[in-house]
Amino acid sequence: MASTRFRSITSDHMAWFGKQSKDGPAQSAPRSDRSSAPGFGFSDEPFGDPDLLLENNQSNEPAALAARVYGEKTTFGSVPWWSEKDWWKLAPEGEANDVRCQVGTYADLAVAAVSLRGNKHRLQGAVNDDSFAIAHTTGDDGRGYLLVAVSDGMGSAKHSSFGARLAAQNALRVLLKLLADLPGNGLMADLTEHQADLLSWITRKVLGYRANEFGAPTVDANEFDSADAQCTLTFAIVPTGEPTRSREAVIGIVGDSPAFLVQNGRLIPIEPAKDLEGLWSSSSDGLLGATSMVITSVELEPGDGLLLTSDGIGNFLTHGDQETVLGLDIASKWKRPVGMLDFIRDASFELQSADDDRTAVMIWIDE
Amino acid sequence: MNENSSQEVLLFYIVCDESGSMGQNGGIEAINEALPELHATLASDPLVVDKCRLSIIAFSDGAEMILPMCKVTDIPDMPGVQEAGVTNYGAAFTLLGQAIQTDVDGLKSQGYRVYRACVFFMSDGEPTDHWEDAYNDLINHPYRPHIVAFGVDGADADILAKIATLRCYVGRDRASAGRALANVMSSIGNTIITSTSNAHSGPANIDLPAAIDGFDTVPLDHL
Repeated sequence: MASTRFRSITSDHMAWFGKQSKDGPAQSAPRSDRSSAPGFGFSDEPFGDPDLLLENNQSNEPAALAARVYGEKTTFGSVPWWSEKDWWKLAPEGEANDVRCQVGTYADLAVAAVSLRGNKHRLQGAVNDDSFAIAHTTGDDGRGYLLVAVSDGMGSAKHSSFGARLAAQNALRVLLKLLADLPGNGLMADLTEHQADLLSWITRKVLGYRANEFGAPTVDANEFDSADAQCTLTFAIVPTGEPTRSREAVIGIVGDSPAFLVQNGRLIPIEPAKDLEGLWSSSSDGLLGATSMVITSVELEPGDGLLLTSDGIGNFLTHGDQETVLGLDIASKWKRPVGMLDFIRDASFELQSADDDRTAVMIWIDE
Repeated sequence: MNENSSQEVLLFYIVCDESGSMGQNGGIEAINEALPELHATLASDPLVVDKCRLSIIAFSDGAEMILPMCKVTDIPDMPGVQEAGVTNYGAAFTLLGQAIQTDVDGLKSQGYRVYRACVFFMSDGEPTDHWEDAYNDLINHPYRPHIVAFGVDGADADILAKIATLRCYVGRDRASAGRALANVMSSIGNTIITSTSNAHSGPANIDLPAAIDGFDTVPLDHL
């Protein structure tokens, strides 16, 4: 057995972070710098704890980031780096995107975004087929807008990773154009009136690729079935806080990527959850070819947060009208901005059956 | 598990004919040899272990739950089927309906999100009872399962096609029921594994093989 090169994350480290060891549930983290620093901004350790940085050491720990376990530990998460099981597979074509992350501020808004490859894609040696995009712009009236989009490639689509990436990016491009060009009847009204054109434009942009471009399907676009790049889209347009601190965020949804208002340590779904009286179904509307979407808005007050997710994380945050244990934990941890590694670790929770890719984009309003 | 965790779970039921003819044609022996292999295959997949539950019902004169719903890693030894009497489909459907109701309600009460169950129904002959009422009760229930039917050794393809809701496979060679059932069990293992990893695609969430070696796929004209 070759020696591992990563430091073992001991139970002491996990306890310091409020994470659960294999032997028991996590305790509250006795840590004062978990919340935002005075004024506004990220914690004192914006890149997480230096004790967890890589260094030479012996370890046979699982390849996953040490994260809190909810319920029984996952079978996948018990596998060490080198194992006869060979479950943690790189994608042959590269760009597996095990972790993709962005953090930053814009005016009185802060954003942390992460996308994580799910265990089912690690097992298959496939890439993360979630994606997100973030942009911002300032209007003629001087008011700023933050735009975020989350897209989840549908599991049956061969090129859904490519589709999701282009969908998220092009959704923001067309929304920026909408903000710049339209007369300003109000975002809701403008989006509602132009939703079919907007969705059609995104579809054309996703399917108008050139074969063999970076990550693109290798077949000619004319011969391509749009179902092979099908994906969801959830986006939000959040104004900055001028001239008033309260503001209305506009949200558009095609498919099943959930969004939540994070308020006073609770999670409130933006759209009603699926009916859980009967049986669960993962069937979802697809973005490509869609002509309409759910358009809604949410009032954001100072201190509130807005969370956009893929279903790989969002489905496990609530059950019916109630937050799950995980959901309450996430709502508490993400009540205020957290450091980048903390954000990644929080999204890397261990929960049996949560094996899909996970994407979370959290927007915080300055208090 | 924690209550209210919203974990996903897929339920699979294997319903085996253990009537007398299954002993004569080698079907019982083939199933009993294949079940431990199926168990080993399923237990080696980390997603199946965490997300699936398996149950086995055997039927002949009556029906018996020989493996109650459980995780594959909670099975110390796979049970076996035993050659018995006639082929009572109705008893199998009645027990299956009761089991699905109990299992789904139990898992939902623990906070699971439960996908529609999938039943693998295998038989070598014609039913000897009036099974239609029991079948209709099963298929008209809100928890009605997806049913995949497998027929070997001269099983009535028309009847199995009426029972199946997703797909019906019927063996071509009457003389090799044992080998055919081994292929069926292998296909069941593959279906469970691929369906588990693709639970987010398609309304049925069941990924069936387009073809099974030695079998014809029978159209489901009642759909």
